Amino acid sequence: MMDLNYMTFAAFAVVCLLLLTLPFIPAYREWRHPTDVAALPVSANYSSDIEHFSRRLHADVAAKLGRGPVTGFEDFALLDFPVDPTQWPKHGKRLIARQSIDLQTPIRSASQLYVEGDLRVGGNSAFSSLYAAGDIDLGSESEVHDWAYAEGVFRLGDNGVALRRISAGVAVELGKEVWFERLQAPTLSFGLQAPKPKQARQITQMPASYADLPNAIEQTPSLFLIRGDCALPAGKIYHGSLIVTGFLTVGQDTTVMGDVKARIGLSIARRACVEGAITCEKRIYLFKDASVLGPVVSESDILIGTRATIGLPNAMTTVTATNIIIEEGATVHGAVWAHEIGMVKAE
Amino acid sequence: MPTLFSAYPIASVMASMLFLIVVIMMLYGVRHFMFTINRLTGKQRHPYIDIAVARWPMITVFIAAHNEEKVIAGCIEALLNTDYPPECLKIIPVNDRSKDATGSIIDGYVARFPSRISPFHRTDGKAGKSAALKDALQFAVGDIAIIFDADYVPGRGLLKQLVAPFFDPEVGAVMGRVVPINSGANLLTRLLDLERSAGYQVDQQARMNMNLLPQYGGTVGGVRLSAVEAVGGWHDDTLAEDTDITFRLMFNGWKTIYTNRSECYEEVPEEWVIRIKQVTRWAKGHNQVMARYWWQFATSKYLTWSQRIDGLLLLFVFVIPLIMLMGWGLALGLYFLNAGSLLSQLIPVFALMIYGTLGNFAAFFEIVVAVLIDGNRRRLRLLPFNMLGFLVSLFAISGAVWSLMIDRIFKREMVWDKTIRYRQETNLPKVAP
Repeated sequence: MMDLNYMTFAAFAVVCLLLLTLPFIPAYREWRHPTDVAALPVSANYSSDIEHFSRRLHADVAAKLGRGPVTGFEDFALLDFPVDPTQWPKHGKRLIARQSIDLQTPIRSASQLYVEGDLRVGGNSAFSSLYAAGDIDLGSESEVHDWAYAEGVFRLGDNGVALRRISAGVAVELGKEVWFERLQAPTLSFGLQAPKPKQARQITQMPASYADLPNAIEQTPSLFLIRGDCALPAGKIYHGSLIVTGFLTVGQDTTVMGDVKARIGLSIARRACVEGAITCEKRIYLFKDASVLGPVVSESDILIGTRATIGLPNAMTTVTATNIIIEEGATVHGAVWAHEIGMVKAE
Repeated sequence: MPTLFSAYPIASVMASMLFLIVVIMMLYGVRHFMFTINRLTGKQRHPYIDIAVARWPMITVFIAAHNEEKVIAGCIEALLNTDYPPECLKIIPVNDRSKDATGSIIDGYVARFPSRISPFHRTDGKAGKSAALKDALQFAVGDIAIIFDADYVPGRGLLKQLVAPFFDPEVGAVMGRVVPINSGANLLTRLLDLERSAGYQVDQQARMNMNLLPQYGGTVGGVRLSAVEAVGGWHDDTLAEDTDITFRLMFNGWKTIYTNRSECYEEVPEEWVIRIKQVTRWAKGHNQVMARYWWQFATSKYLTWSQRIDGLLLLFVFVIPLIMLMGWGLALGLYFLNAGSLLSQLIPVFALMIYGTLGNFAAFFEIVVAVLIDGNRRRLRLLPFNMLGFLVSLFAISGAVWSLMIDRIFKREMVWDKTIRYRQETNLPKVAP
């Protein structure tokens, strides 16, 4: 009986020891014969560089045409002219067009296309990715599925879809009801028709101080914090930055010479101006004719009214949010990045 | 019938203490699991990472350097190669009383790039990184100071990523992710690679996601100087100036932002002795901060309850190993006291204790998830060896807590132990395009 007990305990001990030891076997082997030791690769600038792919295509084309160093990826087909959309190559090779393409009919290309000139095609065109040394002009209801870059102007007609990365050396112009994700150019225009001119108004702004607002706490000489909601009255001018833990409203014709942040929501009324950045954990509303010079960052939605302007031609900036709805006539200088939905809304 | 307490008075006190320790360990275990689950299933916050173009503010980049001849050139070269507008960037290598060629290497770069680099050679004064930085910060240009240790190799786009959160006026400090460059050197570096992965990929990012309190780590990050000034300035009487400034910013209403995609290489210790010294320094510095600020932090009117709890757990994290050791001692003591029936009634407590002691192994769950998110797999086979690192840290930190108490009693000044460098020029990995 005693022997049996000892045997049981011994067996139990051996099983426990085995269970504890087992994980150390692969551990020991990995230690003595490493198979996975490389440092985690650090990508320097990949995610924020909108022109990463276009630059690579441009370098490959330059290599193919003997104008640049060898890249090892020079496998292209040259497009025959005159271009016949019905005979568009379907072999999947990347294509080079040695001159401009100007067609009224649509082209639907699954291959990457590089155009040494302008590209103008009719509505219902579709491209995976394309690069043009001049302008790109895609008719209504056209689609770009991956990326597009124009050294000049990129234009996409009404009801188009511009997924992923769209950028241009001069401007990106999107028609109404266009869906987009990420855009970047010195000027981004929403709505192809010229915006109605702003009504000239004589505005008198009175200097004001955040210190006079209810519950204002001075964090630094140029930064105030307000607990709860806050409304900056109309027609004032404030110097310095402001943090609001609730909802912030910047009144009509009011200018803030600094950054503003609100946690619950932020509204910039008509003709109001923020000369710094605006940040909000929830929704941001920029009403008609409002302007912001710094980055506009929301963790939820941004709604931008007609004739609102963000950034300056010589001081570009970024608008980023999960969803961004922009009315026709608005202008952004710099980058717009909608993580889920970006849309140009008819006024 | 005698009560348990009257039958076993000492054992009852010990068991009560053990129970308390188990509860504390459980709290930390739950915290680790929450972070890991959040990282797996929660909404990931990277609100400022997309700010690609902007009117970038003037910034000063400080490189903390004390006898860094092996690595300082790599850091300066990388900063000169950054895509941050050169006219908005001032680089200040802080040569803190170096006895090797660090000073001459810096001067060589100054001669080549006089408009971009302003050296700060410190020949005397208080020892230590925090004291050197405090002196150097007087020469900052602009309101934002970005700080690197000399062994760091910042990528081309890193500065913009670290500066972008400062467009939010509520942000007082920003922290990027540290990635070991010498992960494959030996078993220790491989284990530290796993730990770092968990600490940043899961722990810090989960705090960011949950709007809790990510920590500024003193390097690969930066501070808003006006915010630092507003909370009492840079302190040089601490071994963990990063933790010190993080907590003062937090309980005064400033936010710290963690940007997981702003990665930068660093060297991790390749020798256990160096590792123990490093952990000891961290533990002493952190506990200094805990002793100074825990009450101010607990009563801050700027923090939510969840932030307060997270921050307090973080503040006390370097006391936990000592508490855990006490728990082990109490469990053994109870066994040898032969507290028979008491022990049998406390079996669930001991079960929890086992979870508690191994409960920190929730941290191992964190490691697994972090490494998998990083896209690695086979290195996880080493995980059982992390027991070794865990035990070493346990005793090193406990020793540090004890030493800190002795320092306070005898009013001894704490000594800064510098971490040595191993780099040879050839082992710098290429930065991916």
